[in-house]
Amino acid sequence: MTKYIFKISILGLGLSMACNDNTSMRNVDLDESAFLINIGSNIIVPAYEDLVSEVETLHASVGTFTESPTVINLSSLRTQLKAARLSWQAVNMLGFGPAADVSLTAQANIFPVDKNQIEKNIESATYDLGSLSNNDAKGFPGIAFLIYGDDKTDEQIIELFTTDANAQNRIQYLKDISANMESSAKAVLQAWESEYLVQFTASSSYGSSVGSSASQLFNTMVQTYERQTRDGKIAIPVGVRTNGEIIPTSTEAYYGGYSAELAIANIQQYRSIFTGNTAAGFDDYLIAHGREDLVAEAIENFDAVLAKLALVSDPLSDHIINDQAAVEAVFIAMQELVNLLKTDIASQLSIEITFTDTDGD
Amino acid sequence: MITFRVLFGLMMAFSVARFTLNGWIDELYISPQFHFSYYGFEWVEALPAKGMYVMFSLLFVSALLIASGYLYRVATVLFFVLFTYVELIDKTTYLNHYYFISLIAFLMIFLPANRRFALDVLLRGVSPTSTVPAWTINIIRFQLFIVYFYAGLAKLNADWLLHAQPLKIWLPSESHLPLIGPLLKYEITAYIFSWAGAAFDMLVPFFLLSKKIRPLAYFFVIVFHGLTAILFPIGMFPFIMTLSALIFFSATFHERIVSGLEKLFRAPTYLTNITIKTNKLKAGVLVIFCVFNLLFPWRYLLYPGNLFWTEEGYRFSWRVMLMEKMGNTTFKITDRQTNRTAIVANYEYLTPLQEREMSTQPDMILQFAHFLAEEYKEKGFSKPEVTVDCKVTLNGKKSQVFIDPNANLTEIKEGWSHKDWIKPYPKN
Repeated sequence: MTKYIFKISILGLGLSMACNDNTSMRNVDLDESAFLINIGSNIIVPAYEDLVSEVETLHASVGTFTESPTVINLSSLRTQLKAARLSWQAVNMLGFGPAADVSLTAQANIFPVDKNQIEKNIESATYDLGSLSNNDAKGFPGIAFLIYGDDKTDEQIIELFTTDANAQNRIQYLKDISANMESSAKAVLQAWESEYLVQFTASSSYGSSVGSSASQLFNTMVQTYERQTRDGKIAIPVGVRTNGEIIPTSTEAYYGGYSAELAIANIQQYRSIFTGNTAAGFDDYLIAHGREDLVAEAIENFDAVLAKLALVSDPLSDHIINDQAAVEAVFIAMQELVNLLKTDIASQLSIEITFTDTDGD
Repeated sequence: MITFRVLFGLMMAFSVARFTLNGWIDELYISPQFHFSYYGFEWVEALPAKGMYVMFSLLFVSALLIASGYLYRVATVLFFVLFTYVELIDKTTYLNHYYFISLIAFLMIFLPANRRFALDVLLRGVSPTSTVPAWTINIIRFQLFIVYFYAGLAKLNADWLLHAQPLKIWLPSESHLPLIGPLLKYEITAYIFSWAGAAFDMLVPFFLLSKKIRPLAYFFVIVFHGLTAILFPIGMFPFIMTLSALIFFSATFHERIVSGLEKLFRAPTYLTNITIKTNKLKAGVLVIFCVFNLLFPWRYLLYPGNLFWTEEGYRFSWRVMLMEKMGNTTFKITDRQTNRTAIVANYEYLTPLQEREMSTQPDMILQFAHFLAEEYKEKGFSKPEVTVDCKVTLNGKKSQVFIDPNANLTEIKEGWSHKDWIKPYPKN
């Protein structure tokens, strides 16, 4: 009996080897190298390059404005802040590896901003930007608060940086948080360019087990999508998490008023990573498994979120007050995508939705 | 048996150390704020951080005591109780091989495994013997037999045999592996592995019992567990099973190992034979143990519906690596008093691992719903109703609604009866 089984398995093994040359043999051909190189070299690294260049320019604009706080310089600083915040939308879902090492999201984009903490820091002029309590007192939301303020005219803002008693401290704080962001972003880009891209695309990072590149990317994407994108940008301000009580001030760009625009840019990047733009993406994995249906559904869902977002106008904080239902519709569309990503797609990709490398059985 | 005791003790010590060094004590038992307790064992709770570390230290020490055969009875009881306690804290971490360890540890308590090559003989004057009653060996063989055979039986289903699921999904993702990798992307490989795996599980316990083909059977044990160790993240299980299966080898085989060990450690060899009496109580306990082992995995027959879908009677039944199942659950709380609603962010209460495990297992969904009802009472919902939007995919089939979205889970009690609020498994 054993011999019989033994023979069968040998036969089977032989059979499958023989079929290696047979192209009609049904198989799942995943080009992991093409996938990781495309995502790493054509999407992730360029996105960080873009971010670094934008925050460098932003830091320069901060310098110009603090040197000569004029209305014109204030306005160009605001324009540059928006450009930098748009570039952030392409990296927020990439918080693994180098970005996790410097907690890039904590340096750059924790919102809503803690105004009191910022004022306290400016007043005392002693602060540790690395401390946990300052995470929501820095980054883009911090800069935005400093250069927009609550119901302030441009002149009033400029006063705070010129004639106000704490003007010097305020200038220093603005420079510090901008420099902190710049150096953090640079560190991440540098790590990707110097070694992490190699590691990310190495054959030792293939596969879908916990710790593989595909798993890290997918898990980080899904988690960021749920927490930062769906909840941070939409669900929390529109009141889904607070029994319907809206919190317009907790929108991403409450100061500046272009939160919906940021959200659209953000969703587009998720979609790009999913499709790999014109080259290999997660969709090609699904197609290799014969699941064109899931690709179609995912694209449909991404587009549905974008369509719902298009119906929401900036400032998002006002739209929430005037037309809560339209913003809730964005949440519902986003929720559909979470369902699809965490069930069918994760399952077919054989990616466990977890960061914990525990045993299964 | 002596070989088994030493190997078991060492493997357990190693497992406990590995568990600790991986940071899992903190990740699985200390940081989660909510644990999915077992029905009837709700009183088993995670201890504060220090307590958990003390427990694991004691586990480590007792495993080493078992290996060295010192204070054997105390050590086995301690190991069994602590290990089982830890496993009962949270369903999230349920694994068949942890259950296996608990059962084996329970058996060890009753076995005279400290009567040779043991510090108990050397230091505590336990009378040594070189022979033991046959049942003491056979009961461990019986336990292994059950594990293999029942795991094989569980594979006899349409998805596994006719559709090669879930291997068809799992294998291609490992196709980057050297040597066997290129074969894994072929569909036919998934079929071969499915059939071979089922045949192995069903047949290998019989072959291990036969003296003639035992070496060949053991060769297959090594190949099978070796392959699973490479392909799947199943931790220590392949090693534990491979080494445990040595128990099937003859007394002469083990005599050589144990005398070899004795020479190595310059331990005295005793060739005395004493008769170990088996009292009625012990015999009774072990008979019940065996009957329980034989019957408990069949309880699923008492439930209607698809076992893989409802998971009623799924655990503790040697169903290993049988399905690819993923789900997502969104909880909605409605206050009947005020009609206020809230949608819960699961991650505020659960770790990603807990959330994933919960989303495909109805009893866990229910537990979390009850927990949320209490949470929201504290938040001022006077009459909270909990409903869920839950979708699940099983073995690559398009995800379907898993739980009746109209069912108010606060009104449902956990128990052994059939959960009629699980939507029926879609027939394609």
